[in-house]
Amino acid sequence: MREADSAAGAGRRSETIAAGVVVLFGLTVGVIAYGYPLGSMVRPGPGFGPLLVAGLIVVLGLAIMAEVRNAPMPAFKPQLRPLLATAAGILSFALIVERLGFIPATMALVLISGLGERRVSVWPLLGVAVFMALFGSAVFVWALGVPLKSIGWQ
Amino acid sequence: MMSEFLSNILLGLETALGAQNLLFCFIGVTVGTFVGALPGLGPLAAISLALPITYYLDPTAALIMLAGIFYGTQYGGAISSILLNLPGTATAAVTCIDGYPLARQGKPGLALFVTAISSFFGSTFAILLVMGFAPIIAAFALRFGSAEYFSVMILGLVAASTLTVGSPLKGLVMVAIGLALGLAGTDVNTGLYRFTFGFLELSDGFSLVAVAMGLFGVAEILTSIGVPGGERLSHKQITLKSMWPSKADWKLIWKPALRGSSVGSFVGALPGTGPGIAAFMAYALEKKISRTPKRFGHGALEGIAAPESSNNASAQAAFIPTLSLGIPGDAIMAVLLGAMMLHGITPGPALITEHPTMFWGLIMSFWIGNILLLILNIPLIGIWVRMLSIPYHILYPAVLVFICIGVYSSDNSVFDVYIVLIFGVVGYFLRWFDYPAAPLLLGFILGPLLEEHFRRALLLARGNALIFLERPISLVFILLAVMFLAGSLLPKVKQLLVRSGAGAD
Repeated sequence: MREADSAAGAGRRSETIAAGVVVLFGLTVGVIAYGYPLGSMVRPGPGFGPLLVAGLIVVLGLAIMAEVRNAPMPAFKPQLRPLLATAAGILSFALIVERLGFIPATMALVLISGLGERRVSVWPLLGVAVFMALFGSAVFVWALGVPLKSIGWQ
Repeated sequence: MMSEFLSNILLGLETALGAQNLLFCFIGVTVGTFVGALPGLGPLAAISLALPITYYLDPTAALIMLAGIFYGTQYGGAISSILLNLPGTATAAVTCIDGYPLARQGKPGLALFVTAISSFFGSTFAILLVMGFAPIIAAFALRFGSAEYFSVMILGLVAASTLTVGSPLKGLVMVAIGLALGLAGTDVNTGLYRFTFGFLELSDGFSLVAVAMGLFGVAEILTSIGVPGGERLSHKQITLKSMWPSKADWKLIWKPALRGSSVGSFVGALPGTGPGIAAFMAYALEKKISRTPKRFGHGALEGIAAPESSNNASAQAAFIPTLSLGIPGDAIMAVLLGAMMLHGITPGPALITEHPTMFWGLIMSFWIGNILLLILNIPLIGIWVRMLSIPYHILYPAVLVFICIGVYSSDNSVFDVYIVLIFGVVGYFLRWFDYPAAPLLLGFILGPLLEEHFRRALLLARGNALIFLERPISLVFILLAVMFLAGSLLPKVKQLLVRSGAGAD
């Protein structure tokens, strides 16, 4: 029973932090917007809209903080493995694609992001990597004319 | 009047039956069924994936394809609901309740047939309404000024955020965050760079494709990896004969389908509400008026016919506000409007008169698309059933490739690939904490329009902020928005007060 209570407590804490991040985001938007000309009611300047929206975000974020104070929440336990594998895969695609070409970038993306599943099946994954690299360069590079080299830099 | 209507229909048919448009209608509905059937990939992800491809098409073909993906997913979503007890799309979640028990009772074919035929019925019903109402509403809306536009957009945004399943406050804050993100880029009036942080790539704002694919593609993949699949029933063969309903079955489903269609059309035509709510409402209604409510949840055919006709009707009816006012009902419609704008077409009440070929061609393509879907989902159902056995660990790396190259090709810049990653991670956290991402996208797309109309309305009213309440049509929209807000927030406030009162004792 106590375990469930502390789990709900941890869930509440992370919910409150999440709402806090929202408030912080609103404040940041507000501070930046304050640096833009506000204009007047007749001619609202570029800072007017963002400042209104920033205020709205802050108010709503605070209201959510009050709301989650009373609600039981599951504890926040993100799955790190899929997150890291997918992020690393996309990052390597971005870093490689213009330097080494579409085929190596795609191979890297598929093989690295494929590590996100706990049970990695190597051969099927390799198959997907090769297929997507060839099929992708046929469709996007060759047929649709996306300005990328299949292999090699521009 | 009547002959004008007929000639419009003929014009539309001619457009929709053109070889290119027919081809892209077929591609759209096929991709839609495919994506709908696969759990872990929704219509928004599919439409954002297809968005870069539409750069190479003419706008009519592009819209026909994107729309086909949207209503196609409404058919496909039920397949995995019925066979795996896993909704293929969020809108098909209700269909699990009675569809899966039917499949376990050895009648998956019947459930799939009722799904397809009810979906077709719902679509047909709503397309007729779109044909009838969209031109009338557009003609009325030609009188709208900036104040009216601002107010109707506010209504749409409020409805979209408060009618979600979770906390209305979270929905509202997501709209506001979306508005803020939408304001990044060059300010149209002064040329000032806002929120670009020194990145020249942000001078046109965040790329719609990157934001949508991140929030709905990458985030969906991140949440789906490692989730165990549903219990797999073996359906070696679903024969046409096993699918066909008996006379008693037909009698059971036609009234629920009709009620579902009506509910769906109404809900879909409101700005801000989508097929998910429509399906849920139709199911609840059917259960309430049934003489044997106990059968629901144990394989009642009405429990499939009503929500399936309703979500399809709502998917089609959502085109009424989108095409007649230029106000998207939900995030998917917003992406469609985004696609129009990318092609240099201004959505709004003038669309129907200025681009009749496009409007009527799109509408008539709905008929063709739905007939194609009927074929795809009844005689060809075996293809989709077999496809459900593609394991997710094979599928998601391939989808990631499409996302990365799609985002890259939309602007030929690696910058957008980083943006997609950032929004993917953000979307993952949003899902975890139940902050709905769809209102964010809606706010993101409407943000610039909203600001423009706000400024223009104030300028015309010489700075009088009460202008939004002084113009009668605008006042009606604002009052409706206030009603939505009050309806969803007042119970919350009461709850909070009661709770804190109890805590003080």
